[in-house]
Amino acid sequence: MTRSRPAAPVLECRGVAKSFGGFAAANAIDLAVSEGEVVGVIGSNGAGKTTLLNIVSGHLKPTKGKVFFRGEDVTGVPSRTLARKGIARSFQVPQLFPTLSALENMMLALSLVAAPRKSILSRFDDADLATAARDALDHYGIADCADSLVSELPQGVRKLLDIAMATSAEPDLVLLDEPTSGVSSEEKSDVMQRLADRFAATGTTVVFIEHDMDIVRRYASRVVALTDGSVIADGPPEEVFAHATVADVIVGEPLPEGDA
Amino acid sequence: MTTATHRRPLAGLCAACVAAAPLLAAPAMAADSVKIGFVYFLSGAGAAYGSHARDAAALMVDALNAGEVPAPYDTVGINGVEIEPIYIDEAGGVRKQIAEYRRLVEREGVDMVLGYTSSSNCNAIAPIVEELETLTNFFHCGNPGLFEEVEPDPHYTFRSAPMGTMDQVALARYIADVYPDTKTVSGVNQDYSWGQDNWAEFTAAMDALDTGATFKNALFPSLGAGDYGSEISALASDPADITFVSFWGGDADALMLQSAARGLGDSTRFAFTLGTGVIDGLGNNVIEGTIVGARGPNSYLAKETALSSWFADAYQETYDRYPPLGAYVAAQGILAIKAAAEKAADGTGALPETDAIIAALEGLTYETVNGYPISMALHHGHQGISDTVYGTYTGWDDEANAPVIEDVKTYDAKCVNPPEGVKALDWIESGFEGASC
Amino acid sequence: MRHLDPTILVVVLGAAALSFAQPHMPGWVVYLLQIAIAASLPALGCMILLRSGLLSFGQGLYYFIGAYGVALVHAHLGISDAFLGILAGAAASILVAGLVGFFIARYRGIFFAMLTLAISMVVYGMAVKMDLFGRSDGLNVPRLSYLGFTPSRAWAQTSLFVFCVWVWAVFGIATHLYLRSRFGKLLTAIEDNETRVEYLGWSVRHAVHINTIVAAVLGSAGGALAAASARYADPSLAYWTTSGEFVFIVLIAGQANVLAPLFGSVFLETLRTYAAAFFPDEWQLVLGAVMLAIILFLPKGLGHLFALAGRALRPRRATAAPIEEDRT
Repeated sequence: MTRSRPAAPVLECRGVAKSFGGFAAANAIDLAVSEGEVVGVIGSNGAGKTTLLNIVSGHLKPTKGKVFFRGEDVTGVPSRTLARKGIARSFQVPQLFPTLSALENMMLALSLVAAPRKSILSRFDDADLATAARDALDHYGIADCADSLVSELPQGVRKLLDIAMATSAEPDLVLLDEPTSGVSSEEKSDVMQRLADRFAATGTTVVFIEHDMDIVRRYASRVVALTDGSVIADGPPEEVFAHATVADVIVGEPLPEGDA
Repeated sequence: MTTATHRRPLAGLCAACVAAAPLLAAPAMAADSVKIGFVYFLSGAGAAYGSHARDAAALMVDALNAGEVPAPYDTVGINGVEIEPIYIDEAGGVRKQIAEYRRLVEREGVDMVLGYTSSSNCNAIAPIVEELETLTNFFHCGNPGLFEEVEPDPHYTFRSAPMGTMDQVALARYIADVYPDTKTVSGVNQDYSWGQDNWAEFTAAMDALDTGATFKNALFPSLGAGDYGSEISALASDPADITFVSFWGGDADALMLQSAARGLGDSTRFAFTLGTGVIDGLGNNVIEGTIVGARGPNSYLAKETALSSWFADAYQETYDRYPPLGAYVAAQGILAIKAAAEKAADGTGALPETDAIIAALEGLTYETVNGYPISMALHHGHQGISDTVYGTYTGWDDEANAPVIEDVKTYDAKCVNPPEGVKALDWIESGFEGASC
Repeated sequence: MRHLDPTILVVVLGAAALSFAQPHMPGWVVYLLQIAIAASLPALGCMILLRSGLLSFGQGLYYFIGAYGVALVHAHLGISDAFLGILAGAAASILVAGLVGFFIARYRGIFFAMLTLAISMVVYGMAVKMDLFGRSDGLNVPRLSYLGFTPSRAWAQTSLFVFCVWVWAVFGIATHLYLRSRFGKLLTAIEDNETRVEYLGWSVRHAVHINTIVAAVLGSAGGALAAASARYADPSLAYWTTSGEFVFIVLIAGQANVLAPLFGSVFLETLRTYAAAFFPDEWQLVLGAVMLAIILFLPKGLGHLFALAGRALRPRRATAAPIEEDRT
């Protein structure tokens, strides 16, 4: 865990821009996220939400601008290093190990990030590790599925497992890319409620991308709206949703279920 | 995963059992025959010579067992005991060859082993020969290093084939004698020990003879390259008077054909140390004026004697072709053992003890099917020498359906082989000290 | 469970049984088993690389280095100790694989296979020209001594066989522990999903690099045993057909367990010996036909390689599959 000046926000983006060829996917984005905030990022398709997440998580290097994590410049630092510093992310399409069971996925996640606690060369097939993994699954309410192969799990469970693996290191900042996409509408609020409970319990700072405005209204403490790679509104949910352009362009446009 | 962990270990053990099961049945030793393991290249590039060698070995075994070979080899088999041959393919790499050698000795219970063309196989097997204490005659490999470095104190290891050094020295002498105006020499040799050593020996011999010739291109295409376009271009752009080639098999044929197609024969004179092999492969497509050798005085360079005529006729009759050099070399290897065993024998009907055969073979001079006797003169009687012959191919005689080879010159064994106790290359570089020509 | 790992038990009991059985085996079988044991170690190296989905056609390079470790330590330092010979080859292999790894660890699929093949062929091409390696004629290896103990001629084969068996046992058990460790599971996970591994804080490239070095050490240990058994080392050890044979061993035996390559190797050597004995002219044809039949009719453990071949045809980026962008 990085200890720095208490005033520094957990995450800060200063003038972050990214262009692919001639197309500007992100356009001088400024954003500061403080400890314990749950920030919902909204915007229509192509507004730059995932690009922002990819830059913050170290998957993409910004063309311009800087990213700070607890005051430390982490611009262009690879994702594996950020993961060790305490930034975790989940994926729109869950990134799992399909040939392993849910429990083994979780065990592997724990054994890699928990490496300092026990040697990486120690036995994988270990009772303590299995217990810890089962507990971690239980935190997200998916311990029942522990012994199923990942490829056989329903999408909601796969999303939760993806997030559970990402957060296994007890990170300071969690980035969630559409945590409820592909999840059936009955499952949606259940998934989101479990996540909210979990992060509230651990006091984790969260930034999540979401298309479902009801979910954003209910769970975000703050909303950031993006259009054409720029922030057009940033503030408490009620304020942002009252913004004319947001209502018009983002909320007013009905979004097909599960679309990216 | 866990179940697989339980199953696999047993499989590993079973594999060991499979290997171990048939071996415990020891082979029945036939006392009324001499069991000989013959190892020739039967597959791959080396089969270009090995298949003829095997054909000749089969012919010799049948003829010897029938007592049909002329004097001095007119006794049945070896000293009246019939030969029982086992043929092994020399292809497959050294580690496989050692396994095959051990199987011949330890499972088949052979009395002796004759074979090996590749110098790396000879080098690798020599220490195993001494360890397993089985008489073994390397019939064809020619690297001086075998007894100079690898096995300097041989007991069971013999090599009746003269060293390759003889080919290079005789060729240098032949060029000095027949083509004294030679001013420049180039070389094309395969890029492995044989090609590299031959070029080194040949250039040293040319220097030692004070021919005044200078060396131009020294090209080393890889073994089995097959396409020599760039080498031929290099040779054609800066042609030397003589181009030395130690290629064998398909590579030699390919180089000759491609050179002929591009008219390289007009600007340089080729010298192929294994030239009769190329004649066997290409007939009248060989460039006229090419100097040819035969890894000793074999094939078209053989001398006519009762024995050599019998061999050529018998081979022609059996296989419908004139015997190539590989056939002569294989026959020579068998006759070495037969001559020694019969010299050591106390009356016919039984094979003498191995040590008695070894004692008789050391220093032995025996007749061969090419008309030139071989003397086991070097390395305490374990390495053979013989006279050798070079000639120039000048065309094809359609009537006799045979190549015309002119300017044939014979060199005395002691003129083209080092004396006892001197390393081959040292001897050449010393200016052939002790040679008698 | 912890005290009774069946693989370790089988390895130890098998090694002990073979050690005691040696005096009752004919010399050619002893040699055949030694060569099979030697070849199974680089094949084991291929197997652990395959765990991450990487097909190496260059394990022969480390077979070569291990063999010349024994040969050169004797030729230039006059040391004929078996342990020092193995250590010399292993040290050289760690160095070479350490350097080569920086270069190849980022490649996957057909690129990884071709690069490993190319590097090993470059070394072969140099070795056939260099007197240091005896050029294509190779170098002879003396009878070995063991920590100061030099067995008499009569005991030389027994000593070497026991040495080979226990060297395999040590490396086999070490590799088994390695594969069942957390790192071993990580190697499998790399084939499943490189992105997730990276986001779990591990560098896929470093893991592949480390695994390449471990595979190299296995290969060099095998090479040392091969050189000691044949008492000979030559550049053909680094030739691509030698490497191809190791891949083939894994192909016919599967890769469920560290004993699989040993099983495959013993099978292959036995098959080759009998094919050569019964069909001296067509043994290579027979060998090929039997192998083809195995692949056609006993494809157990082969599915993985087929999947790899398919993947090799459509190469992908090394570090991570691209994450889907917002569609515009």
